[in-house]
Amino acid sequence: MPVTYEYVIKRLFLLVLVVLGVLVITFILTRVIPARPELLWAGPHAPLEAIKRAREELHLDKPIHVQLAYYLRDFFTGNWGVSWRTKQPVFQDILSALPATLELVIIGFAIAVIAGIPLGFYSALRLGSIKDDVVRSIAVIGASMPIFWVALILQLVFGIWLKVLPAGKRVDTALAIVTGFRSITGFYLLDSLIQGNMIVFIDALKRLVLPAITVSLYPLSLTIRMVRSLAVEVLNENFVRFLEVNGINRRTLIYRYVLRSVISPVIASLGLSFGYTLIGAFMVELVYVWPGIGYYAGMALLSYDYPAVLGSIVFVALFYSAINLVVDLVHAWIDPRVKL
Amino acid sequence: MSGTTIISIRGLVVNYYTFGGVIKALRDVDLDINHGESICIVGESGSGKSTLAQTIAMILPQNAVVERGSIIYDSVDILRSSSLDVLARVRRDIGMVFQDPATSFSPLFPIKQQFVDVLSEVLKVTPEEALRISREALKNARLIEVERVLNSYPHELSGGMLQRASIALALAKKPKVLIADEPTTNLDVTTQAEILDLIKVLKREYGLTLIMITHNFGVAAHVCDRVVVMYAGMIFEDGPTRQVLDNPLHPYTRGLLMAIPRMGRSLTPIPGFPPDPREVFEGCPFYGRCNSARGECSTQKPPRVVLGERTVHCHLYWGSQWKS
Amino acid sequence: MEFAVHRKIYLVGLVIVTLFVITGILAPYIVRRPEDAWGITYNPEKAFKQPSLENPLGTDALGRDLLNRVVLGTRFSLIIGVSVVSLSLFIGIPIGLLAGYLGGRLGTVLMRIADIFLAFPPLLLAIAFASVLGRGVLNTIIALALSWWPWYTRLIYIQTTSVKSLAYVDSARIMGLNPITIMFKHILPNIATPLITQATLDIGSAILEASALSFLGVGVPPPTPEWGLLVSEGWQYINMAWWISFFPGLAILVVVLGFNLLGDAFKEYLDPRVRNLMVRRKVK
Repeated sequence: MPVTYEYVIKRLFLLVLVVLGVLVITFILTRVIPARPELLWAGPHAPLEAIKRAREELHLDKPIHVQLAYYLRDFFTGNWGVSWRTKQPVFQDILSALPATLELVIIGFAIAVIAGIPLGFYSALRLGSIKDDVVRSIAVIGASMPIFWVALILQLVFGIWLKVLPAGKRVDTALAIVTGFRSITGFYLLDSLIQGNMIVFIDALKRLVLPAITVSLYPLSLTIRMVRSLAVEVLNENFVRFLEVNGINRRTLIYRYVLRSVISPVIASLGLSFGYTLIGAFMVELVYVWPGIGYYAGMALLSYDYPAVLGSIVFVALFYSAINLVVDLVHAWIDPRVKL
Repeated sequence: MSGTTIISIRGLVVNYYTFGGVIKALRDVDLDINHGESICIVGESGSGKSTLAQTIAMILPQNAVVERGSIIYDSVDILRSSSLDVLARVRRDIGMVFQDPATSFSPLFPIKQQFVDVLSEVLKVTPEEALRISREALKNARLIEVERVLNSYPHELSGGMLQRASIALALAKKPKVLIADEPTTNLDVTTQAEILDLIKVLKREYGLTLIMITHNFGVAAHVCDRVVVMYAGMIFEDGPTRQVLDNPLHPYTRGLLMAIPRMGRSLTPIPGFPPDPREVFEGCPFYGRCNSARGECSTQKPPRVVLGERTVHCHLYWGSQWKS
Repeated sequence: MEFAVHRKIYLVGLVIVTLFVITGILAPYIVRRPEDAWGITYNPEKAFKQPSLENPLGTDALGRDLLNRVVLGTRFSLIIGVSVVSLSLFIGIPIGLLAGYLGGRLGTVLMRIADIFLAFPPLLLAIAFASVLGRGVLNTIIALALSWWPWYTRLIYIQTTSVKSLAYVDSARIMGLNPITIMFKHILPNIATPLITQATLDIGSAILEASALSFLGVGVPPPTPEWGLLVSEGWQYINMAWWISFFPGLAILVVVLGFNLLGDAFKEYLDPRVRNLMVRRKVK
C-alpha cells in the first residue's frame, strides 16, 4: 500500500498546480479574452459609476500580470465579487447553495454506486443470457438519455399528471413555517431528523425522490456498463479458473476474489462518475428549481451575471479536483499495484 | 497398460462458440485412463489437448459446449449429471495446475488466504486446520521457506516457487488425479527440470494418477509411461512412451519426432500448417500434410486400430490389427 | 456477417446511425416546409396543435410543424457531433503522440496542461468556453472541442508510451525514419483501434453535450432547430403542449443510443479476447 507521505504530498502539490491552472484559465477566459471585461463584471444596465468602479476593482489599467496577481489574491481571500442579481457576495451565495446540491449529488451518486455495482455483477455472471441482455439494454439506454429531458418528462408525468410525487423546491415553505422547521446544517433531511420533525422529513424526502433518481440515471448506467465489462474480464482470468478447479467455494470466489479485482478500477473511475453526477445535478436543479449551485449558476448564466458565473465555475472545478484527489488516495490504498 | 480404468471417455465432441465461428476443439475422442499411470497428452497448439483436460476437470469456459460423448468417472457420467454432488466429487478428486504460475493466484491476496479459502471448502475443515494442511503440502512440494511463501503476495515470489505452491495447492486435498497443463512451459530450463522431477516424486508419494499436457516430447519421455498424440481435436496415436518414441506408427507422430532439432541432422518440419479449428473434415484432418496419404484419407474418418498395447487412428493400419 | 446475426441489437445501432446520417444529409430536401427551420413564420392559428395525421409530432408555439423541425435538427446534430470529435482528434492526437513519443520535460508539461483541462468536470469547461465565445454553431463546436481534446491526448499518450519501447518502433528509429513519420505512420495505426471505438461512442456523447449547451442557452441560438434548443423552447409549455419538448429529446435519445450500440459493437468485435468469449444462446 504505497500511500506514503510522499505520495500524498506529491498529489497535493499536483492539486495546487491544477488549482492555479484552473484559475489562470478562468482568468484568461474572463479578463483577457473579452474586450470590455468591466462591462461584464458590472452587469447589463449598469450605470456609468458602476462601470467605473468595476474598472478599478478589476485593476484593468494595470498590466496583465499585475491583474493576475490581484485576481489570485482576491480569490484566496474569498473576495469573489458581488452578484449583481442577488446583490450578495458570490462566495457567500455559493456556500449557502452548496448543501442543497450536496444533498442531491450524494444521494444520486450513492444510488448509482450501490445499485450499479451489484447489477453489473449480476449481468456479468449471466453472460449471454436474457437477464444479461435486459440489464445491458437498460444501461445503454440510460447512458443515452439527455438528463434535462428526463428531468422534464419525469416532472411532467409524476409531478403534474399523476401527482404522485411533488416536483420542485426542497420543502414546502408553508409546512416548514407551520411546524417550526429551522435549517441548521443545510441538509434538510438531517435537520428535520435532528429536530424530530417527521412531517418536514417526509416532505423533503418526497421532494428528493424525483431529482435524485434523475441525477442517478447516467452514473448508474455508466457504473453498470463498467462493472459488467470488468467482471467479465476478471471471470476469465487464470486465477479464477485455478482456484475454482481446485475446489474453492464459488461464492467466496466471486464475492471476495473477483469483486476485489473488479473494485479497484471501479474506484479509480468513481471520480469521473462523480463529475457526471455533479453536472447532471446542475441541470436537474434548473428543471426542478432546486436551490443549489447549479440553479444559482444557471440563473447567473441567463442574466449575464458574470461574477456569479465565474465564481461557480471555479468553485465546482476545485471541488471536483478535491474529490478526485480523495478518490486517487483511496484507490492507491486499496490496490497494492498502484504507482504514481 | 492394464489396470483399473478410472476415467473412461467415449465419443467426446466439444465445441467453442465464438464470434469468429464455431471452433471444433474435440472431434470424437475416445480414451481410457487407468489408475496409477502417468499419461502425457502431446500435441501442437490447437490440437485440443487443453480442452480435453478442462473437460475432464469440469472447468470449461462459458462458451464451450459438450455436444456429445461421455466421461465416466466413478461409475457416473460426469457430463450428463447436473448433480452438485458429482461436481463436488470431481473437485475433491481432481487437482489441476496450469501453465503460468504467476497468474494462477490472485495478485490481491496473500498465498495463505488463497490456500485456506480453497482447502476449507474442498475438505470441509476449519481455517486453522486448512492452514495446517497447507503447511504440510508446501513442505511436501519441497518448499523450504514455507512461512515466507504463505505470507507473500504472488508478485513477491519467483516462477518456480509459485509453481511449487500451485502444485502444493492442487495436491493438498490429496486428490486421486493430478492434471498438469503445460506446467513447465513458462519456466526457465533449470526450473523446468526441477518441477518435472517434483511432479514425478509427488506422483509416487501421493499415489496419483497423472495426466500431463505438453507439446514437448522430451517432457513426455522424462515423466510419462504412456503418451497420447493429438491433432486437430482427434487422438492419432496412443501407447507406452518408449514404444511410441522409438517406433511411431502414425505419420504425424513420425513427422513430429523428425521435426525435433537435433545435431547432425537437417531440420525437417512437417510441410503445411495446422488446419483452421473451425473447419469440418470429411476424412482425416492430417490429409494434405501427410506423405503417406491414401485415397480414403480425404473422405473417410480414420478408424481406430488397436495393436496390442498401442492404438492408432489411421487408414494405413486398418487391417493390420488382425495380423498377429 | 455472422457477428451481426449473433447480436441483432448491434444491427439496430447500425441502422439508427445510418438513418441518422442519411436524414442529416438530406434534411432540407425532404421536409415539406424548409422555411420552418428558420421559422420566422408565425401562424398563431396553427400553434400548439397536438400530434395528428397532418402534424405527426404536433406544432410548436409559433405554429411550426415539429416533425419538420426535428428532421431539420438532424443535420445540426450530425454536423456538430462529427465536427467536435474530428476537431478534438485533430488537436488531441498530435499532442498526445508528441508527449508520448518524445517524453521528457515536454511530455510532462503537455500532460500537465491536459490534466488542468481534465480537472474540470465534464461539460463545465465547455459551458465556460461557450459563454465566453457566445452562441452559434461554430462556437459550440469550438467550445466542446476545446474541452474534449485532452481525453484523446491522454488516451494516445498512455498508448504511445507503452508502445514506444516495442521492437517495431526501435527498428523504425534505427532505420533513420524521422520522428514524425514514426509517430504517424507506425505508432498511430497500431493504437488506432481503441481510438476508433472511442471516437464512435463520442459522437453520440458530443451530440448529448451540445444539446445540453443549447438547452442551457449557451449553445446554438434560436431559431436554429437544434434538438436541445427545441427541448428548452418547449419547457415553458410543458404542461399544455408536452410534445414540443418530448419529441426532440426522444430524437436525442434514439440517436445517441444508436452510437452507443455501434460503439459497443466495435468494442466487442475488435477486442480479440471478448470476441472469443461471447456466448451464443444455445439451442439445446
